Amino acid sequence: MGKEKLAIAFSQNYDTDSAIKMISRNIKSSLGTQPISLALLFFTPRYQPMFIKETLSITLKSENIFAIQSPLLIFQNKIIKRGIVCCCLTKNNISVKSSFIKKTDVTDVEFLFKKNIISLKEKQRFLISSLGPQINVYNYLRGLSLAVGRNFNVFGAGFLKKYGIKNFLVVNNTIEEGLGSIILGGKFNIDNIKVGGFIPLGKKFTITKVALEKNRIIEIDKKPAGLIYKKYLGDKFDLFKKTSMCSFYPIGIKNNGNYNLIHIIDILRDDSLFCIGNIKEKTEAHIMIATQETLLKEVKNAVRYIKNDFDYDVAIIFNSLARRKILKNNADKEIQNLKGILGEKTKVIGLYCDYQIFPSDYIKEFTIGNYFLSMILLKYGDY
Amino acid sequence: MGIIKLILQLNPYILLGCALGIIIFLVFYLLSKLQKIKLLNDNISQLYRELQELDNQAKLIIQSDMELKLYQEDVEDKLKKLTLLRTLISSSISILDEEELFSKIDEELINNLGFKKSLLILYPTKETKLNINFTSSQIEGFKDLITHSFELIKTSSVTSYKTFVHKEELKESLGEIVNQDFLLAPIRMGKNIYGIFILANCILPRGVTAAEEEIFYIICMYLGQCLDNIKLFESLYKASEELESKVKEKTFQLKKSLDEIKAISKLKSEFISGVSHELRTPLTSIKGFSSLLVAEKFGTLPEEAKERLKKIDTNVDKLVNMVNTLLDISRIESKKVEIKITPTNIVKIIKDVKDFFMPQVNSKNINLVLNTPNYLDVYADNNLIERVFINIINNAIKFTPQGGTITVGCTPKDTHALISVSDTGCGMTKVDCEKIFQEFYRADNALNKKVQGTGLGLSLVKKIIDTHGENIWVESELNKGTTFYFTLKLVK
Repeated sequence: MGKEKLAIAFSQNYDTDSAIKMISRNIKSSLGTQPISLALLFFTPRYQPMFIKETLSITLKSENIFAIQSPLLIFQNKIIKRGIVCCCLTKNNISVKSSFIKKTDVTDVEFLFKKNIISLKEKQRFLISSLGPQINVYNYLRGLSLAVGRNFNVFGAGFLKKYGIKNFLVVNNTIEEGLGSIILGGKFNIDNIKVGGFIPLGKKFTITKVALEKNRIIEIDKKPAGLIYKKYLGDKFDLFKKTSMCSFYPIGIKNNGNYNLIHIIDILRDDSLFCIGNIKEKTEAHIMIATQETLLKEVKNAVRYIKNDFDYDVAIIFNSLARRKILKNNADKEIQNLKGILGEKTKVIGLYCDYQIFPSDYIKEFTIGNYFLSMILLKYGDY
Repeated sequence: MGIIKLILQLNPYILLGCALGIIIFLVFYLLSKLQKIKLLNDNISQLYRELQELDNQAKLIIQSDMELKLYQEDVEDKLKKLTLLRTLISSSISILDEEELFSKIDEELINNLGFKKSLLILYPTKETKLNINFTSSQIEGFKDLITHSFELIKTSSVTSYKTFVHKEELKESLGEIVNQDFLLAPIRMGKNIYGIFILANCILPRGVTAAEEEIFYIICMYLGQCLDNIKLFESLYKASEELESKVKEKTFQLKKSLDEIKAISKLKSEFISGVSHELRTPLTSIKGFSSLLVAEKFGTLPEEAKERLKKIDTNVDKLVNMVNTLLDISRIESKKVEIKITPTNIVKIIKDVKDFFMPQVNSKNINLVLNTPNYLDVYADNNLIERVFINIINNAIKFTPQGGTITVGCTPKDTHALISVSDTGCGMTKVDCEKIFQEFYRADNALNKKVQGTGLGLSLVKKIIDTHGENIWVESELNKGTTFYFTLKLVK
């Protein structure tokens, strides 16, 4: 008791205050009186961010609070529809820098991250961001690249605008929708994986024209981009558009043997494809498809590969809501499989989001994905 | 140069042969290459066809996958709506308040139904009972729409926005709401329309379908049912409150009357007790002297005087008996008598009483039969129960003609002993049976006028049995006989 370097806790109590108190008790019983450097929280809507901040600052007295609101959470081997999940890191050779901005201008992002990165002297560093619906992802990625270069561990969870639900963030004393980030530096081993499970279908095609914002594909093979779906769906294309089924069939861009998946949010009136991401012209792509079996199999393989008899202290998951839509009831199985492979010693927490940001192993830059299970694996110690 | 010279020096026929050979070789070479090209082209065409085939299969896969996913989504959506309905019903089925019922229709429920806005307009007052996300001008638009199309809305289970959009006369009233997809349905309370419920701004990707209309109709029906229940409960509650207040009033009156009766009864008992007590002393003295006079202890009396004195002595006996009985009743009523209820062998009491009455029974030639077990223990006050038997058997002897039979029975029945005294006397009417235990009541028949009595004996009997917490009753038939029954608790 009291000798752990990190602890996780979870509560489903209805009222925010009592949920935070319960979490604090459990965290303290694991960490004892050790000073806490970071309280990383994920919470579902209906919990009050203001009470989270106020109660937590009294009960845990953490140096940094970083709380992200999400529609679904992950705790150990379960998906949580209502609750608060918390992971606390002690000050044991860990430094944390947190930041928040409401709107993302490239220079703002660059300045913000540069300032924070410079102040962290540790060799091992990584960054976690939460991007609200109003954040321009393209600006974020450009600003970030300018600030930290392309060879940096960046992870992020992004949220799109949903009816009636705001995506609140608590970054220390700030409670807002926007861009919140923490950079952690210290003596730890960090690994990450992103798991897909989609397979290409049909002939490959070339993205020939992209909008300036890089988030809209205008032409494919020099024809209106939406027609690529029409080619495969024939007279079912109108129903496909009407029912927003495009989220089930992303576009896969081949990248050093792997496919990066582009989430098609909507097919616009001019038949251009509205998506999230940094799309480039003249890239070859496929329409992608997945089944529950391919998704589950891919998670098992990827987690087994990274685990390789090594026990991590904690795994932080940013899972995809679109992926869950395909997995349906098997979404729980995915998390159970994952936890089963990681083992008892690795604590698992996470959230579901609309898109994820992660470092690409091949091209040494940050990429956006919508159908991935992205996982950060941490182990305390000098590696 | 040397080789050319050598070739030129050769025979022109050889040269021609060589050229022909080369030409033939080249032709064959070309032909073989053309063959290969053709083969490769065929292969390419084959591959292209296969690729095309694969692409066609991909089309089939995507189309089937999409259909399957849509089907799954549809099933899930229906399941979700059924769950929603179940949650709504389970959380509101016991609600008996209108405000509380409509508090269950919140934004979350409306969103889960697939809509962004909701409105409930009461009819005919057109008050807004519920509003989720509508602006006041939109509400006014719906009110106008209801006014113009009430007959249509009233007769339909659910009316969709499609019904109205082409109606020119409604264009003005539709105003702002014209571009919204909405559903309207009446909520019926009994035979009347309670209000018009509206769902608008569908947020479902596929738009409003028959499933949404069906679930909306069920919800409206359910709300109507709940309102019926609330109305029924309110009327029942009102009626029960009225009844309760009436019961309270009557109870109060009865209690008041009972208190008055108790006070009067107490006064009566005190009066009777006082008077009886005051009468007993002079009566004892009168009885003493009258007995001495009848026994001629003060000298011989003339026959006529002796005759009158005997009558005085007999009537004094009656008076003493009456006063004693009245005193006993009054003592029991005022609880001045100490009652000792102990386990008692009832059969022994019956036998003792029989012995006591044997001279009277024999002289009247009556058959007194005991129908009892040898031994039966009951809880009773020995002396008081003996008094009960004496009074009842004495009555039976009085009213049983010569040669008649009196039967005393005693049988255990469940937890009690049932004791009966039957006679074959003149019997009583039903009215007499009901009043026989009242004080001073005497049955109105010819025989009764001949038989002497105070009308207090059976009243005393009833009071003794009441004191034991037991029951006594009488069954009788005119000219056939009478049976008195009473119960006493058995000793286990």
